[in-house]
Amino acid sequence: MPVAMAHCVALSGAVGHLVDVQADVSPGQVGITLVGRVDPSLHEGRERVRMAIVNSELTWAATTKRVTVLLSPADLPKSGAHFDLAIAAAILAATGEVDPRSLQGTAFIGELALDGGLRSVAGVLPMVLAASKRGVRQVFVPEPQAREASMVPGVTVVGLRSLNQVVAALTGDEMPEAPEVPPLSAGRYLAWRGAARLDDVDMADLIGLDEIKYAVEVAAAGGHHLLIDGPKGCGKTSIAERIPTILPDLTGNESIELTAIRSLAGVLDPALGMATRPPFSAPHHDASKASVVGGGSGRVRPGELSLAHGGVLFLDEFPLFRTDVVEALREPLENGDITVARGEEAITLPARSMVVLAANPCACGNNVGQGRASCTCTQVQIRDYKKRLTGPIADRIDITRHLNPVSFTRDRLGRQENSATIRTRVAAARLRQAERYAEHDWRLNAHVPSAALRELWPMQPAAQAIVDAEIGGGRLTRRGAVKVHRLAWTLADLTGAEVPGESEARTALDLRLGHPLPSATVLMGRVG
Amino acid sequence: MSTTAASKQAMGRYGEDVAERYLIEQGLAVLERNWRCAEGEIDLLLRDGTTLVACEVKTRYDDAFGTPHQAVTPEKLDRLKRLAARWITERGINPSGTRIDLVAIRRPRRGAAVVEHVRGLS
Repeated sequence: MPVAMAHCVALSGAVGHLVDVQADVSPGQVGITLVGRVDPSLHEGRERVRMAIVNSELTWAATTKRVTVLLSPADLPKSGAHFDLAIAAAILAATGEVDPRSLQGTAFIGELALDGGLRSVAGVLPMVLAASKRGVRQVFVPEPQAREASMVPGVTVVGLRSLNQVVAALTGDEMPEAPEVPPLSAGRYLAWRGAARLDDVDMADLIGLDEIKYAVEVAAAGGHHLLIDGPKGCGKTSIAERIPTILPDLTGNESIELTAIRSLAGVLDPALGMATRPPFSAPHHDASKASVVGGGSGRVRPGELSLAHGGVLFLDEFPLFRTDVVEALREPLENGDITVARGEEAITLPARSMVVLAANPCACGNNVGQGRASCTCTQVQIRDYKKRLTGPIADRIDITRHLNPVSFTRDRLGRQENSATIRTRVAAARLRQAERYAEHDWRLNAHVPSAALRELWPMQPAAQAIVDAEIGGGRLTRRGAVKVHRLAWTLADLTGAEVPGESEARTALDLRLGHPLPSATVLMGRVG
Repeated sequence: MSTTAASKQAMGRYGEDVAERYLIEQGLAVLERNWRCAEGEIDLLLRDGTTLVACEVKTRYDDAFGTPHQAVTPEKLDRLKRLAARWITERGINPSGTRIDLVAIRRPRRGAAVVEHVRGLS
């Protein structure tokens, strides 16, 4: 039979599309033609496939026949070396090396080396997810990625090392020996930071800091973004990296999305299985735009923003981040996803995280309180630094907190609440939100569109009047007022109030505008 | 074994003889053999029904220097098409269609020759 078909998957961001790879082997002008919107990385695949077949001592049909490979749907852009295996399988079936019927219902994912060995590729999990949704029941993947592919239920995963092993698996012949396939390199996170380091931290490690702990609890409960400013050493980083410990487990969808993003980025550790805990991501302030929001050449690699999906993105020394990085954060802060445009493609990746920004009072970090005398910054430097804290990004931040240098006189010593206790309250507040928004696309207060908020979930009139007065006084923007409204709901969800009233509105305003909280509020939060 | 110009020619003639016999057996009618003009040569011109067939014959001992099929490059194919058009003009014939075929012959040093007819290169 001169025509055969194998399945593969094209990736567009984290979304996979099933692709039919058809091969035709017929008499005619010899050679191989690849058609169906393929990019240069795939055109190179012709050479990899040819040498892999020849060096596997299988029949390479294009020495006496015309080989045409069609990838459809033809209007879908296709790129990536992972198509090699499907192309090789389709050609071998069309040549008669394997039965074309043996390819039915199977997707082939893998890059080929010249010796016929398979190579690992990034993004196997989202590919297998897409294939499974379209009814594919079996996938062939490079051996190191079999565990990753196995995370998708209902699909038989066959992990193999070489093209000859693939042929043997299809024909039912004895499996030949082949050298082991190297895994994709683990990302730098898994290499040195790992999930383990942050497993050991707990809010109880931090003495005092009641007010910021309360603010963080509110932020976690409603999914609000947070800005912390304070001098160096006051606990900004310690607080931020403990936020994931008070977040409940990821939902089913978040878990799949985050694991798929890690697979795309090539930092998935299959030994850990599906991601269940919220991630923490802290790019350095020198990071490029591509590394924070995603991008890169050839294939879009998810940025830190997406790797923090469902968890916390912490930008320490926020004013030192490059302007283009900061500007690129606007969209994800509002929408929960990021669109990366490259060439004629625009790829959207999920990026719904709690963003935590930290800033010093000035570039040297001393310009506050008693340490002010040792500040070495000029007035111009201080002004420039402060300027970067305001503006469009700060307006998209829900909660602003100023931290003072740690002082034992103000902070209460004694037993500290642990993360598990706080997490219980956060989970309860989130449950109330999930029930309220059951019929809608969003789950948390921070994500409720402003129109829906106004129409369906207004505050008590007296509470709204307090907020309106702040707008009238010029201290609050319209966007700010909506954020206060959302915050007020989160406060109500934490205390169990039916509808946000005056006290919730006042506390929400304080949180938003960076005013100190009355300690009664902090205590109420603890008890409620 | 050294390959001289004479032995190459002999090999070519042998292949064309084999191809001619084979194509006649397949029901094609030979119109002309080794037609030459300034631009080159057509090994065999035949009629298949009302279609004109310009046929290239390639003979090889083995595939050490590539298959006979690979010897017909896109440039060579283009030249064959131009030659066929010239032949039609020169002879003043009006065929219903034109086709370029290849007869690939492998003639191992021992054993029988293998003939393969590829219809319609394009």
